[in-house]
Amino acid sequence: MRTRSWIGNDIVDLAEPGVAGKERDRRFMDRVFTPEERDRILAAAAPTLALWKAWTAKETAFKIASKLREGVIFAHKAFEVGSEPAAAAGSNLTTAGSLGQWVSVQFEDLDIRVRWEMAVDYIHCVGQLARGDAVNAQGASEPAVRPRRLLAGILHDSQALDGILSLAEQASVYSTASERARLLARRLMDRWDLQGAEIVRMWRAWGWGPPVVAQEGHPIAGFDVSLSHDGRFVAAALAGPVLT
Amino acid sequence: MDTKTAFGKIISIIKPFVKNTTAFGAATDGTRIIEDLGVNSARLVDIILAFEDEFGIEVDDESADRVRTLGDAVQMILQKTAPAL
Repeated sequence: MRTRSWIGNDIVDLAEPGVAGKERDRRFMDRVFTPEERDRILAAAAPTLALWKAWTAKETAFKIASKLREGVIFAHKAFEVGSEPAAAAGSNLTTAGSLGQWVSVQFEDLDIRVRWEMAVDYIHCVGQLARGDAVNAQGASEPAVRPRRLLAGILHDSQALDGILSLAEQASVYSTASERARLLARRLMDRWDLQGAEIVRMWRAWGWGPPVVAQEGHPIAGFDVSLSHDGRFVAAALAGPVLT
Repeated sequence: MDTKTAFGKIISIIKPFVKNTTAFGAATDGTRIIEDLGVNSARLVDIILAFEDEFGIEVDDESADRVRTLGDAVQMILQKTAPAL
């Protein structure tokens, strides 16, 4: 069965100002979360972690929805994060490199699946919407969705990353972090050995689109990419055909 | 309220959330809040809430989503604080 999948990702640096204790900011909570989400966050064993998990899920789902639909507004409460299995909610930290169970984020008629990698100093959410095949929830740091393969990577400021971006890629770089996120995605892309592939943004009728994997100025069918950065971390996720 | 006053107040509100102080020092209407100033998306929510407090306005999601640059913020605030005709 032929499958298309769209991916998104978002990372939060837990040491950034304004992160700790944010669940006590009532107006922020009311603005961003539905009553059900707020109740779940405040009842969690670690409310701050629960909050930022839900936040990254919304950001991730928004990135995916924006790829499918024109002019999606980031109305946070319109992206409803489903509940996790009790054992996974709140304080449970997975080992860096491992991902928890898939959780649903509903936006309009879209059912976007997200999962998180959590460490002491960051939360990284990866999400996908696959059409044409069932989501395979197996896998760890490189979760597989047949017949798509999803790779995700995280890089700390202290970690060097060599590489040179093409002129087309540099055109959408606006900071050191955005450059490093692209270099990280390029590193993930190396698994497919795509000659001349670039990660670029393309102009659409309603503005600049999200990053895509392209060759000679055209998106490569079957691939999708998502970039994010916050504080000391950059992250990237890349989906492509299963490697043989 | 005139454009200059609104711009000055917006600068004061955004300042604590800015990562790129060089870009902030040379800020213009075209300065992008996230990309150029390094404000992250969660802090942008805090900024929108601070606009509501400072200017006594309500900023719906659609209006908030359109704020990409300092100039966008100025225009939104001028529209929402304009006296009803």
